[in-house]
Amino acid sequence: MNFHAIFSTLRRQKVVPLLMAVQVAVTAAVVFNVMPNLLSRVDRLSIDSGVSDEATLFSIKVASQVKDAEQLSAIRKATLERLTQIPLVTGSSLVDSIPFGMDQSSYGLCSSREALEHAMALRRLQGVDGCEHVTFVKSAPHAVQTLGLKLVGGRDFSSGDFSSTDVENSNASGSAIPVIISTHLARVLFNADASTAVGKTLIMGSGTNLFVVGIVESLIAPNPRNPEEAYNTLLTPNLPGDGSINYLARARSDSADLRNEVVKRVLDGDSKAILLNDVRSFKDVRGKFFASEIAMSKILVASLVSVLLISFLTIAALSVFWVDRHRRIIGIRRALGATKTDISLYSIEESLWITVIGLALGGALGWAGYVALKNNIEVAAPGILTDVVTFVATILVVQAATMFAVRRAVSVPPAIAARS
Amino acid sequence: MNYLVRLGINKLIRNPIVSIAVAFALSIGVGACVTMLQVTKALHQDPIPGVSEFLYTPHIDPLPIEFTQGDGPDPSKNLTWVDTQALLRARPDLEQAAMAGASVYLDRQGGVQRPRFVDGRLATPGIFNLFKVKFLRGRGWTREEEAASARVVVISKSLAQEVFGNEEALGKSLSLDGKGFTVVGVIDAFHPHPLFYADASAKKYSDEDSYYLPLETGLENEVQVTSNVTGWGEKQGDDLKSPGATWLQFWVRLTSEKDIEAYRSLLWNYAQQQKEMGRFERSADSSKLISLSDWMRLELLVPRDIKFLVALAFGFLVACIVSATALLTTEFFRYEYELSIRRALGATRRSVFGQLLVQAGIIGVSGGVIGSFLAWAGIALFRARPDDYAQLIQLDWKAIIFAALAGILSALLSALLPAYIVGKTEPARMIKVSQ
Repeated sequence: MNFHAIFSTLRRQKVVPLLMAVQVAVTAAVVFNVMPNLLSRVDRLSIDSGVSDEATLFSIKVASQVKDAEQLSAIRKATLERLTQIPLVTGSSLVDSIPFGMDQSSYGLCSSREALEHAMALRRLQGVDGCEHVTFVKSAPHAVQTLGLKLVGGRDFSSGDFSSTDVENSNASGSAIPVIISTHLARVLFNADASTAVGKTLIMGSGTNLFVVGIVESLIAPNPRNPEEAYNTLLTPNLPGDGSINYLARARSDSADLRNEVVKRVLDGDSKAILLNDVRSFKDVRGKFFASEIAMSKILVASLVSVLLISFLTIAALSVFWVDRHRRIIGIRRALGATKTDISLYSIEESLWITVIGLALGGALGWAGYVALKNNIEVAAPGILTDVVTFVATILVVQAATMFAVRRAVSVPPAIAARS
Repeated sequence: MNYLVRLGINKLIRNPIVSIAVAFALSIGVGACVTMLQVTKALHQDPIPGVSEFLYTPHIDPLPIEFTQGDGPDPSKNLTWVDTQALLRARPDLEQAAMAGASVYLDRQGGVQRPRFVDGRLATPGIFNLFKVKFLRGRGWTREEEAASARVVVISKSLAQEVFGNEEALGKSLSLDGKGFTVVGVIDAFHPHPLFYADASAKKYSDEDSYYLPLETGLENEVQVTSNVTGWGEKQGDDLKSPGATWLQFWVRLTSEKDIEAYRSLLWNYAQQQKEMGRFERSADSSKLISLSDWMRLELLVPRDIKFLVALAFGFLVACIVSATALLTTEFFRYEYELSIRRALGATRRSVFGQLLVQAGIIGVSGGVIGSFLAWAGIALFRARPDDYAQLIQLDWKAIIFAALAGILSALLSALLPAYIVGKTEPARMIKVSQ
């Protein structure tokens, strides 16, 4: 250990080590605050939607001007058939809303009549056991399969399940509607898993009864802003008679031709249909939903790289300068028998000590910055992982930057000590 | 001084590498700060210059005490039909209006190439006077037309241009949702940024209103309301005129302290009266009159990401100044020998100190200039962002001057420590040491 020698040098020659430590501190403080915000964003970007292989699933949102229910249903059926006839398209279906598609309809649901009455008496759902806000995805045949949802319990809808009665228009006197729920919903409503939730019944605020026929592993809501309710989802076997609807097509390719063909076939059956957006892959939809977050992540990455680069260059310049000022001392040490390894170890240890001091300072500074930020805006809190990443990144950058100086120090000839 | 400037430039030319590095380091910090300041500035525009300062929005909370909301916007931020009507009746002498966002289907007609849903506003007749909207042709609608749900519409200059081209739009019929509406007025471009009177469901920096319909007419014709509609109580949510559904925004222009106070007590009394009648459950003290500037502070409008980036940019500038200090230290120490000769030849400590600061100042100017270029690039990148306010961000001459000043200031700040240390060297000692 050269501890004693290093600190007696640092005590006498303060400016350069001090500047290095401050540079390390400021850099660490910036990284310390940026890192958690970056990592939490990156986490969100890749959140599971339940949909398999998002790049090969396409959707187009359409509003029809046809009001007659039977005519509309015939148009939809014919259009789905036409879509499956497109080469490379392996399946098609219809849903009223898609993951990350923004538009969603949610209803209050309870697992028992008692729970519902309790909630109604309180006039709220929050905090009532067995009641949840749930987002409904209304679907046509083959939706589970086309979306690529993983069925982990029960069964998919059968053709007999589908009806033209919308859940909104049904009531207590109607027959119970079969639904497929997410495993998350099974857990929060029934405290049940994939095998035990099948067959359970649910009741809506309007008194309409639902019963669970199947469980899908995961399905995210179209607008999952509230993380606690993001997976409170279920599928129903009916479609709204009006409003907009999403045609789905699973395809083995992604080309402009394929996308044009989808548009063409949708319009073939209903020339007055209004296309509310272009054909988009689910990957595009996710990208659009997170566009702002992606842009922000890029800015954060760019700032991290720049601040680390600036501090790399600064520390390289400072440490080279430091060695140049101490050529004689290094030479004397060499002349007194220190090997090249001794010199390089000494330099590395010296820079490590400075880094440690800088990091301690930077941790305090970064924490102060975090507290100041937290009081004014919502920011992600630093955790063990982000702290470790910050410290490791800073130490690596400082060590890499001092390598130039270490090599310079090692190459100082002992003979220099002899010069006056 | 002249001599010092020449000396400084001379030094820079002879050994430019470190100076260039310092200028670049500073320019990155300055560029980041100027970019973020311009972004913030774009988000703090005065929505309607000359009018904004007098605008207030009344808030009364008709929600049941037990009401808790789900994932949506706070319903107590909007008003019910019943309450807006009462407010309109209470002070007919004031410039005031109730309004809500609307979306209608614009069919193929005239010059419309692409049929689509277009955004507009349902409003009571006072909206045009309230916001001092300038009419190019025609007028707004009257209270009588409003009461009779007349099918009249006021359209924006750009919608008139799109549908009717250069023809006279006034008196023509415009088909919206498949129904004919008579154009009674065409207004000049009117795009407040942010669109403060739109509710939480709107994109406040990019949405624009293409048309204005009388509120009654909109309801009569079942125009789709895009404001957030929240209902409570027994099956009252669907009926927009129900006392149990909030969806309307309300703004009033109040020009004197006396009027403001009078309006506050009007609100309180109204809320108190409703509570006594048993309609409101909450205390009358929950009624509020909020000025536009407070509203913008409360509600809107600077996204949290932007605040974080502003803080980050300033943190960055600090890192850059520390870096510049370090680089200038290494640079100034190289002059030690030469400076000690100057000192030995009679230059004062102050003069040496001044020489170093002047040199730093020159570096700072270059840092500021490069910084404005970086800010220009940063703003160009920001404008490409998907956020709706991106298009409003601009680099103006004030920002460039600010960049230059910030460059000089941060360079001087960086140079203080090294110039002080190097400047205080005793002349004789240095000459002895270095040879």
